[in-house]
Amino acid sequence: MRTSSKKLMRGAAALTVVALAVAACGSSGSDDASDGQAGTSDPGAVSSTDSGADSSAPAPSDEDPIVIGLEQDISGPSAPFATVAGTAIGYAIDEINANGGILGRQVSLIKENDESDPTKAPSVARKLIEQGATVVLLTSATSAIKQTKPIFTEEQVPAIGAISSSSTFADAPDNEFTYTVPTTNAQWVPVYCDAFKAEQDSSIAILADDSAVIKGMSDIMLPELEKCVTVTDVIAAPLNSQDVSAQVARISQGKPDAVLVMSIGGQFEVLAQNTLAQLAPDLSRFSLAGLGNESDAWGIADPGALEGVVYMGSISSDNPNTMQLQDKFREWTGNADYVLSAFDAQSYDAVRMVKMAIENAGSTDGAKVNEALQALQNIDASFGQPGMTLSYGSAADAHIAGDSTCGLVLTVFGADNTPAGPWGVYQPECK
Amino acid sequence: MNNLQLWISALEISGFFSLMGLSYLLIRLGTDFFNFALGAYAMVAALSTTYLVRIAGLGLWLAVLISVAIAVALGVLTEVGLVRLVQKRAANEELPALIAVAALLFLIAQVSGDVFGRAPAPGQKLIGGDPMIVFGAILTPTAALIIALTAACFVTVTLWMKFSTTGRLLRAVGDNREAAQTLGFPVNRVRLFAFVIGTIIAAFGGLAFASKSGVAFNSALDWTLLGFLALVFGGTGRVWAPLVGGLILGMLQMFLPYYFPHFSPTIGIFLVALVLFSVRPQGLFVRKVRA
Repeated sequence: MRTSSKKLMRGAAALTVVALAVAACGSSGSDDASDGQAGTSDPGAVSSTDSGADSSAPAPSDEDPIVIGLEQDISGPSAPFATVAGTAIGYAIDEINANGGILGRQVSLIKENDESDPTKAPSVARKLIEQGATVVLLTSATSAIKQTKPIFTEEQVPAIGAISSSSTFADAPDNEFTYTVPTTNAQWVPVYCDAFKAEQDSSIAILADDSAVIKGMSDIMLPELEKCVTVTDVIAAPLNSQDVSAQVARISQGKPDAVLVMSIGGQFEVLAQNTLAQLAPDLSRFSLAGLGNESDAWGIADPGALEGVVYMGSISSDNPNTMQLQDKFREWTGNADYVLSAFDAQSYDAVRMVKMAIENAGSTDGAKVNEALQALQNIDASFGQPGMTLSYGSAADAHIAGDSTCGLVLTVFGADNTPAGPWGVYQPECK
Repeated sequence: MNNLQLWISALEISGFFSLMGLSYLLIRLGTDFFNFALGAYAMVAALSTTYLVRIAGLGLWLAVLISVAIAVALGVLTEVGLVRLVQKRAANEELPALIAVAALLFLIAQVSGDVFGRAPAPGQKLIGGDPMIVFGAILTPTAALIIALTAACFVTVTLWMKFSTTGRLLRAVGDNREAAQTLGFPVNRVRLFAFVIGTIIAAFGGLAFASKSGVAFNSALDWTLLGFLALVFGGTGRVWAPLVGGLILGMLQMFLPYYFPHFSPTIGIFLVALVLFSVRPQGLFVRKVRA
């Protein structure tokens, strides 16, 4: 008996060590979708240069390619969506090169993996700069890339968080050279409020995962939501929940008109939607952005379980720029059914803005490119609703490209568990 | 506690936890060793099946067969290529092999992420059909399968351990390997057998449960922890101890968030585990040995 208990204890001790190691290694894991979004597809390889260039490279001549750095996450918690964005960036650069490059020079993409690790991200950023990057694009978790801001300021190298919908990377302090592309999640609350009003939902419940990023979002969004709607319950369940029947049963007791699932997407979101569809089929369901951008997760859902779920998307079939870009991606991927994701469109737009800035600056000098970026105004976006535009400015609060909440598209799922298109009840307008 | 739907859900998740706990127990009985790679085998079986069906276009049951074979191969390699060697070099010290197997858990998870992709995948539904309504509660085919599979596995293993020579050998070898070797028992074969049976149970548990929860490369650690907790709660003294442990774990997971919605069930589970470990470190069920 003693031996048995000792062995159990030893096993428990070893497993605790393992779990702690994982918790430590994956401390950024809860922030893996700090952008509230997740990946969609595997569009294939890109013909871009891998990293490994000499860090003491000589000064570039006019014949040398223009170097753009990509700080990404290919093996950490943000890998599912960062790799999608990275591939889209590769396609965009291939397109530029096929059309003669920038300032008559080819563009070389160098890539480094920071695994969304806040401790690695600064050294990865510095490595890309040392390899000659004129501009750095970042697609890892916001928790990681925000650590790089002082480096870009110090080195005077512009950096764009291509798919970061958190404003942290673009906000002061240390934001003189840092920017983002998507409409930020701070702008979501008024859109949700208008949506609830349009659907005549006077009360909602919130079912959230317990990740740090969702906790942070909930802390910001909840007080604002409570100003426009009665919140009957806020229940958080573990991100790795095996079942949320109890949470859904509890929510049903409050008899809300609608439920908002707040999660970083993936398995938790699908588990929540499966359970809500089964146990609370009459509730209107809203979601954040994760599920809509994560086509791999749609397949996990029970047949028809996502039907009617309204999520905060960024893709509208009514936007001609979006449809044009989708055609390009279908050609590049060789997949005639390819569905463009927000990551594709936002990453593509990030590259477009970099190209315009370098061309307008007429130089690859970081400070000049930065000035040119800040001068970009009213650029038609490849995402959002028709009329959505992107602009930067020199003011500290003008480093987020989206000009309006119409970068957001409330999108509804159809019976086949795929997005059926813009939600007919309400859409934010471009102002 | 009068919500039948919650009881069905509790039974469903308990079934999976119990199956993982049973896998631990069988390997523990046969080898005197906790195999922390079990969650990885279950994950590989589920992910591989999805991959073979969706990407390779194989039929479901052929995919299941291949995937379980892959999981078993991993189990065999763990025993023959890792545990046995490490234990031999470490003079049968337990900790080096435990650490090695924990490392293997991460290795398998990361390699699976590279091979099958890092995005979550849907588990394949092993049986079709519409949900049944039982006294107003919904019983999905997956829930029915997991509950039936759990019952079948525990009954079979109990009978096998009680009435078969191999079953008794399993326990004898695990209790005292040196003595079993001296008596001429086929120690290595019995250990291998324990790994194979344990892996098969874990693999089918993972396959069945993935159709409810989905599966991703990082499911390996969660499933490892849950199975181990079922074993910790139940103890190692009876074949059906992990069943009780799994039921306790499942009920905690289900009813804690229902009655205490603002209290994390994870904290509750670990608090219970802590108390249980303090009061009964050997688990609830202990094997009685005559003095």
